[in-house]
Amino acid sequence: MKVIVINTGLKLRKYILKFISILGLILLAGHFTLVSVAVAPYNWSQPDIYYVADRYVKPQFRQYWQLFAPVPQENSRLYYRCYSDGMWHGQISLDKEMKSLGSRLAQRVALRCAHYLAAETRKSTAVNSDETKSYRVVKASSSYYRAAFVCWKNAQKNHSVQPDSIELILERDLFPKAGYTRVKTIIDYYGPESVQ
Amino acid sequence: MVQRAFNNILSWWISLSSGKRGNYKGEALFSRLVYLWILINGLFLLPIIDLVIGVDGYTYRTPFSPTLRDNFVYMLNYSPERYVIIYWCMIVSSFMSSINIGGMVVRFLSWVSLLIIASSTNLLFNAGIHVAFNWAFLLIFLFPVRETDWKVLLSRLAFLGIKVQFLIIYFFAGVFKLKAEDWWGGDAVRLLSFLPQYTPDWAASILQSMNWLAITLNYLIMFYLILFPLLMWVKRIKTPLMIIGIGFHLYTALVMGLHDFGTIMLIGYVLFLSEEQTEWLISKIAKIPIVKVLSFKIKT
Repeated sequence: MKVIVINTGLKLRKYILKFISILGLILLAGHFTLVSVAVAPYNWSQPDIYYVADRYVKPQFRQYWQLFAPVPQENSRLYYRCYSDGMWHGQISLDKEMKSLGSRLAQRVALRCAHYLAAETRKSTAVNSDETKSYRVVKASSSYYRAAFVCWKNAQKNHSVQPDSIELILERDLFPKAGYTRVKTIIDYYGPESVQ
Repeated sequence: MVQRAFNNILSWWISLSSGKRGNYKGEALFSRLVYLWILINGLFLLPIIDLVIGVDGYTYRTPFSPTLRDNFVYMLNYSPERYVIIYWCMIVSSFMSSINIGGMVVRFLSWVSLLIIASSTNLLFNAGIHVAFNWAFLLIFLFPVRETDWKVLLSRLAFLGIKVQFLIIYFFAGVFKLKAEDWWGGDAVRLLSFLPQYTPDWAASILQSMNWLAITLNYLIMFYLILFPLLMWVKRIKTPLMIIGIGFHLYTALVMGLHDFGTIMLIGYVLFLSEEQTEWLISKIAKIPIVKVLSFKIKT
């Protein structure tokens, strides 16, 4: 009797394990199918399927594997000026400000802000008569808000200024194919009080 | 041939739920190194934590978030007290997991807290943190045992998932490079050398003066990434392939300054080591003084 009970228990255990392994493999296959659809080039799947995969992956399995494809073809630096107490203050380098904190991670904040803003700027740039190029933010973009927000915070923290407005200045070195040109882009940021 | 392939698949599937775990030490080492990575990178955040998250941080909040999960994450990050708790939860739980204390609950806490911190530090970290939280999720299902059947089964499934994730990274990184004109044209590495944040002066001067080297590296990286998921299973070329990959990621970590991505991918190579190679690596790690102090031993 005891032997029969043990045998039945062992058989049941085997079935449970097989069930877990089948279920586990199905779940893994489903997970990685959705991940693959979400990280693959956009035109590899139907938009509807991509949408489902994208919703599943973000934010808990978020991932992007472009990794320098395409290679960034410019080096950008971000500067800012604050308007407060009725006057514009001097130009500040966000990169230097972050470098002074002594953390390599903090320096990345400045690099990323400039990089994302440059990517946004490429989409819409107008040449001015004084050879600078200006970019007017018509529609708010996350890169623009992100950069402005970091500069705004820095102005408050490092210079004890509550800016009425902030002007972002983006300096871009365009690389070989464009012939090493340096482009200065002025981006106005209108804060709580709009300053012309 | 079809019959043989079918038999191989069948025996592999049966082996998932029975028998001893193969390279158990390698899996245990991998798990500990991933949690160590989370711990060390978390500690790098400590001096600038107030700048990054919390009410005064650079966390950028969109006017509205499209999902409940996003809103939940922001709610936790925007509370003056909670973000400190989340940060320390990540540090403590990843430390505990790295020395194998606390089990599934602690590993789950480590993943959730890392995810919350990662969502507000997208300006600081690069793809390394994406690799870390995807692996940390699968590591929740890891059990440091060799023979208890259902735990062994879950651990095997988790490690299968981790390996697939690793191969997905390489494959799609290769695919995107194959589609990019700069990489396809052989110009990408030379162009990268013009970016001072990724290429120091000495490396830039070498790559710009020796165009043949830049072109060779360009195609080597591109084809390495796309072919790795296939060639990794050919025993004869596995070791040289891994040596190339280790060199590539050491360059990313030490020269390009992408220490987070470079190191997590180097940790990933532990997954593909044989038992003998793992033993050799563990014996080397055990000689490091700090490891001796912390009694960082891999139990069998």
